[in-house]
Amino acid sequence: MGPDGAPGQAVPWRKVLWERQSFPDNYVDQRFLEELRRNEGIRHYRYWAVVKEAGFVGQQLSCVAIFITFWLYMEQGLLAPQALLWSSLLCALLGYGLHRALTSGGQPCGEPRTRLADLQSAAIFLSFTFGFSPVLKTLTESVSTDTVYAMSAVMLLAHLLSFPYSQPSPPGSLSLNAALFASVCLASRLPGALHTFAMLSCALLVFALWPCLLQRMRDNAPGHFPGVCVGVCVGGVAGLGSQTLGGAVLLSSALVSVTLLCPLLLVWLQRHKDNIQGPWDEAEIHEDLSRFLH
Amino acid sequence: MDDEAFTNISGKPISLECHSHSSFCREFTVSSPKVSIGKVTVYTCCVWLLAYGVFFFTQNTAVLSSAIFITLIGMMLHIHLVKVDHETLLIIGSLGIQVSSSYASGREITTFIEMSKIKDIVINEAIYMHQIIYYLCVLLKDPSEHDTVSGVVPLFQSSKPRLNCLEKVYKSCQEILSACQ
Amino acid sequence: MGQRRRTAALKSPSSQRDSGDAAWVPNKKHNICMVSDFFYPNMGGVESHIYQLSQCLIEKGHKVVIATHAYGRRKGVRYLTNGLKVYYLPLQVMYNQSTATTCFHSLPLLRCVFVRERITVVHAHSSFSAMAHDALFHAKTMGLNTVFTDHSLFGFADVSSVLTNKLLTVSLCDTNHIVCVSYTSKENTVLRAALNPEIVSVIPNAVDPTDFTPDPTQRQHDRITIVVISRLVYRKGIDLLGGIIPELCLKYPDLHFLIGGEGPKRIVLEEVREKYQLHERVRLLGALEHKDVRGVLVQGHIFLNTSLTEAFCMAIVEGASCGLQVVSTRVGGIPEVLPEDLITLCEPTVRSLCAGLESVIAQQRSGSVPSPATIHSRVRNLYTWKNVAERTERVYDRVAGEGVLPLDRRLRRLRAHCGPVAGSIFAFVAVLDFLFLLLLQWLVPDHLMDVAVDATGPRGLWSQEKSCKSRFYSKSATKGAAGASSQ
Repeated sequence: MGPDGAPGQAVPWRKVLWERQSFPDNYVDQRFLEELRRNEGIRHYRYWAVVKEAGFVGQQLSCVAIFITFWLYMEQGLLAPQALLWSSLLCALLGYGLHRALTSGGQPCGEPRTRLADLQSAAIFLSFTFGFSPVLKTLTESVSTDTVYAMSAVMLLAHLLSFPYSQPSPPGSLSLNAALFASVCLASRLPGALHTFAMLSCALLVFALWPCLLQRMRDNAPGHFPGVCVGVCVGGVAGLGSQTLGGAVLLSSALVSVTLLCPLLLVWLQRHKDNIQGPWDEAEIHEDLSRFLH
Repeated sequence: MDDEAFTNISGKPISLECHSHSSFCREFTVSSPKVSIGKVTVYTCCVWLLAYGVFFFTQNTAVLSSAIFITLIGMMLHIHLVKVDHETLLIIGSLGIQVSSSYASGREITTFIEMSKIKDIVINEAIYMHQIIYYLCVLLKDPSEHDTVSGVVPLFQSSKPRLNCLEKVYKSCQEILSACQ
Repeated sequence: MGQRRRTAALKSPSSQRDSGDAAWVPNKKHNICMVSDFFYPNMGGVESHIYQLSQCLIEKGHKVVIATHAYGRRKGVRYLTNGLKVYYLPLQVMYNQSTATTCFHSLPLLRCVFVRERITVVHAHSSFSAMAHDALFHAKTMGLNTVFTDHSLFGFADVSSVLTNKLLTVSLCDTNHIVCVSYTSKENTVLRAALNPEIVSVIPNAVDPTDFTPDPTQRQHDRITIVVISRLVYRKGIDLLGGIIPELCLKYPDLHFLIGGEGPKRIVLEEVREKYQLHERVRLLGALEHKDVRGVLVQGHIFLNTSLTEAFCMAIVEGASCGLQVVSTRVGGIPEVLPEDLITLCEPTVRSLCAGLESVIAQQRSGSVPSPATIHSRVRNLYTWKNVAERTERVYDRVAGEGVLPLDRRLRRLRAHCGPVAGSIFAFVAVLDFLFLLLLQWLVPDHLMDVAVDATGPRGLWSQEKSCKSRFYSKSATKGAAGASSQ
């Protein structure tokens, strides 16, 4: 009855059910579980590669910090809205040129947008923002300042959480909307309508256009990408540090943990991964079957 | 005639009395145990102690008098509506079956099923609370339709005798039923 | 009682315990209780497995009762063919015909069934059935031997499978014996529940060969018909079928598809049929009753199975038994089921399946395939319920010779086998279950429960007095059906 009670091994055991074999039903062959495969097709992460990818998260965190820094400066009147607008314009033009250069360097996918179309959409955005900034300024007047701050904090957090880090261009609708909502909230607490307009254009620059440029940079100029990330992070910490020291310390510790410690943890935990595959797994359909339907 | 001791499904002793009036008329009486003084005392004590506890905090003598009324009325309702003293099954071949249950107060409920409506008497199993029990029941039929069972009348519902008692009743009922068919 | 039985099993195996006799006799009769959430009127593989296995075991002289949950108004006690007694217990159904489990609420009723039927072996079916796991748990608490049959395969990748596998580990860690339907299923179960492979037996499913006989006259000879009979769900690869149909229909104008079964993926097939204007050539028959399956099968030349996962595919055996050429995906236990010359195995892709079907169509055209009668005669004796019952009986014999772990060792085993967290939690639950059992034994002692009148088994009245049935029992049995509806 026991599995060791197998008769003379003249006939080898076969993994078939249709043949009545002279082995007991609970017989365990040498070949038991031979089709078991472990950790097949697993990706082995290297530490610095993960750190490089995590750099994107870190710089996005810093972007938020930079935006808050600008707002703090504007609120205290240390930064004139005109100065911010002009520097934004300059940055936008520089970035646009860089984006063009990187795009032409890479593969031309589909039909590239013309400069006229870009100019048109930029004009529409700016004019609408300019037209609406007095309205936006008074939008949250009846709401208490504490609520506005809390709401902006929550929205910026939502922006960071829902940001599509792997494919940031175009920015995800939820993350972009959360960020713009937060910036409208914050901008409405500034002294004048022009302040609001400057703040909102700055927000568009930081939250909508910058990720696109960065994505392009990551794809087409991977050598420069880490440098840019580090630059943004340093800028964020320095900017926040000039206003609140505690904020800078918090930001830098968050950056260190996100970009250095979390990758370390991931690589370390990777050793404990034990994924079992075998013939019992449900087969996956890899083909695109929708072509038969549409 | 003979009087045997059985137990019901919860282990309380019951007695089965079989009277054979004639070869085609028998009477079975299942008697449950009487209300025990101990049980009455325990319930009464519980209610009164509770009432005294409430009285201690409220200092309202109405609580005590209402407790007395509650116990009295409760006891009366119990013996009148709940406590069945004995259940009787009278089977008369060719005429029918009379089922009656008498409560401890003396109230008696009697139903009669005529023979043309009776398909059979069987022992059946049912899920009762969290138990599966055997019970004796009368299968009813429509006099017009012969093979279908139109209803079921369970017997000895309150005394719930165990299988050995049911079998005894069942066998003598079957003797009469088979004789008159 | 659980304690008493357990000590009896340990100290004096030859005491009055029904199954634990030291002198183990091969032809010992067992009192078996099959427990599963899935039974008739629900239809499916597990249901028919339980029914057929029970019938064959009754024929072999064992006593078999089935416990399942109530289906609608069908609750109480019913009798099926040959006195197979079914308890439809009023337990709350939670999801997909599976009962809710609290680990405790089913104990009173299951204990009542086990005690009054004098059950010695509890055989639970299907890992999807919460009632089966509950019954295993309570049976071990009561000191009964337990067997579990696993009918399905499970992955290891996602969170839900991690959780269910943990529960299976807990449920099976002190189960006496486990039965799987194929070697692949055995490997899967051993890995999922971290078992010793020696307590896992492989006993395949079976088909009734007399139900599936070929009838070539039903085929239409001016065409080639491909039959598919399966539930139309994702796991059965209906999306693949939706790719195969247009691909092959465009190539072979005399090709017809006959598809039996119902499910959410029907819409895919309907869309394909609509888009390629194949209404004449692709017939969707909808849900089929088991008795109608053969009538559909014999109309075809080729049986196609596109399952993505399958522990043991009964459908391909039924197809082959009706004399069809079988084409199937190579997944799960399917490669073990039929000899290579009776089945064409393909990878689960549209291209591979089309290639396999085309080669079979070419063979069919050239007439180089064996005749349906030849295929039937080869398949006929491969899987019979009699054989399944014999092998299951051997499992029962083996289990009856084993002891059931007493509470202290069971707790230690749970802690050692299921990890410190889950092990401790379920050890605690096991203790609670034991205390609950003691409470029930105090409230309703075992000796107050009437021993059920056996319909099957050694003292079975249905099998003993087939010729001259005593009036009492035949009627009490018919009443079982009638009375249950009166509740």
